[in-house]
Amino acid sequence: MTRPSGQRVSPPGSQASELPVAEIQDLAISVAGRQVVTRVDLDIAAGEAVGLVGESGSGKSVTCRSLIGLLDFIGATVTAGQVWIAGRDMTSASQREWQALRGRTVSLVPQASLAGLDPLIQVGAQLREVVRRHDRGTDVSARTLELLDQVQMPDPQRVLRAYPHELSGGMRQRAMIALAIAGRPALLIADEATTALDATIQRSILKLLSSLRTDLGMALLLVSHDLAVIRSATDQVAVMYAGTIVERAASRELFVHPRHPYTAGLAAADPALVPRGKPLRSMVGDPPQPGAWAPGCRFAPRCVYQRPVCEQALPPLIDQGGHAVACVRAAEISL
Amino acid sequence: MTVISPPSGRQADRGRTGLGWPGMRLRIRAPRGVVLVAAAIPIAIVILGFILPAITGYSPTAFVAAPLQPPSWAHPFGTDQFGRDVFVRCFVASHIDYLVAVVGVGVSSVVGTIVGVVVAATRVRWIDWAVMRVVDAVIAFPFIVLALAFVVAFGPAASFAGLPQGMPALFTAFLLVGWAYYARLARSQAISLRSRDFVTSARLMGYSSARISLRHIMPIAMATTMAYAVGDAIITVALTASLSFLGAGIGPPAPEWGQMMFDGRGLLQIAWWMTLFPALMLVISGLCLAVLADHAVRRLEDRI
Repeated sequence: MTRPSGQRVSPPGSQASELPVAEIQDLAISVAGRQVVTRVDLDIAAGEAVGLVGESGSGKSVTCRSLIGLLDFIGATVTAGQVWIAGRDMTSASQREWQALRGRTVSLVPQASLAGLDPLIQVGAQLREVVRRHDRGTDVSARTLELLDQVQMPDPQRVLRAYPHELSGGMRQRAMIALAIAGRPALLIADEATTALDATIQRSILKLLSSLRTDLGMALLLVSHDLAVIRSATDQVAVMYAGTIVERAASRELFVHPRHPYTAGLAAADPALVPRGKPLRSMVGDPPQPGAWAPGCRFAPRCVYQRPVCEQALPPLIDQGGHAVACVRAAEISL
Repeated sequence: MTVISPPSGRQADRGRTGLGWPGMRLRIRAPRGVVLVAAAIPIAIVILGFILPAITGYSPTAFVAAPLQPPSWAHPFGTDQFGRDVFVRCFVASHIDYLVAVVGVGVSSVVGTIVGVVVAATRVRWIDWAVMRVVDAVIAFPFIVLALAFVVAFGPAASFAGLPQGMPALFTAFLLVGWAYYARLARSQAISLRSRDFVTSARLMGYSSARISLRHIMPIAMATTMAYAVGDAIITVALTASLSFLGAGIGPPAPEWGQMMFDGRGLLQIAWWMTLFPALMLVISGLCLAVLADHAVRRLEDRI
């Protein structure tokens, strides 16, 4: 699934058998003239679960938004690279073209918030509208109840009549997920979908997302700070740092045998990944501001393995047997 | 023109403009009973305006008694300089004053809200810029002068469709000015709503900008402008009375509070009732509308 940038010659649509639902090639995104994402490559095969981890400001959300055409609305523009959705080049697609894909081919569950649902419309009405949009001529109420059942909504009859402010945060997020899956998307993006929820609800929503993925056969792009959940719920993980992907590998492999010093640092600082009794180590320094990046490897200023060679150029993401690392010293250092 | 000042420190979220600053007001929620009374009083005044002439047998424009009679059981609010019954005239006058308020505010709020939301949704920057500069110009123009100009332009006795003379000029003046306040308010609402999460969610569902404006932004913008409109109605009633007082509003003989006060101003020392009672009607109407406006804003706050 992974490859270094610039390798592909023909568009992904030419390989009909293994058409990825989404593919990003060599993507660069700028907001107000400042680059926030550089040289990102990511592809998501049908039915695959991909995790995206990284600190706040590392470009995760912008990358997610590029997959659903919402960059315009935050003043961001693609300055290089391509975005393919289900075999179509959507890099410079119009909003009208994106509207046809949203909810049907790609759906996004945003960060949980009170404001995700229209405050003046009953939840049931909002669900029915979306169901009607996606399935003309079906039994709307039956499909609505089915969706609520799929997201394991407690007390669905009450929820249908309720206004958003009458629901708890977890229930609202379940409603948001129901809206997102109503069009049976091929790819569901969960962009920190649990961040504003409390810890127990976070786990149950994440479990719900990964069970929905298997039940409905969707691909899932899971953005989360919870590394343990990412490890158990995804097939592949990409680690972002300062607008680039620094490492990408199978989930089982990545946190056990990290090859990039940043990934190793993340794993060593997460209580869920460090064995009991071992001390947690935090990384020194802070991530750089977007655009104010070091000329070479962007992690170099914080990296304990840093050498002069690191500052020469942004290291490319090099794939070795399905485990890709963007570190020039990956072969010499042992983590 | 606003009377509702933002009741909450989160005013910036709503984009509601107005007098005052966060935390300036006392935050007292009117009990439910008070709100009901505030709604009942204007309705009662209007109904009494219809039935009082029949009950008392006094037409609001007929000379029914000796002029300048002080209040008595036969004429609770006394009689004016022509011997017309002030009590009956006070209630009948509510029809004209309220009609001007309802039509003037109602039409301009609807028109203004639509203009504001559409302008906010347009992708063509210069249209937005041009419309808002027109709004600025309209708001900058002194209203009373504009209204006087219309009365002159329409002719002092202009009247059609059975409306009392002066009313067409008033409606036109309120419309031409009123929409601008609502357009500005609705535009700022729409712009702040545009970045709200539920609008993004609607985009995520694949809905078009036009539908989002209509289904999600318009109702909330409309709710806000309506809450503002209730407060604006008070000002409109007062302005109508002011214009009549200046001789540019509703012409005689139709009863109108401002006109009645104008008639009484020279006789204040011998016939105070001619001025006091229409003024009280105006104050009571204003108070009721203020309570209703406050209630509407709070109801809206609970929801949004």
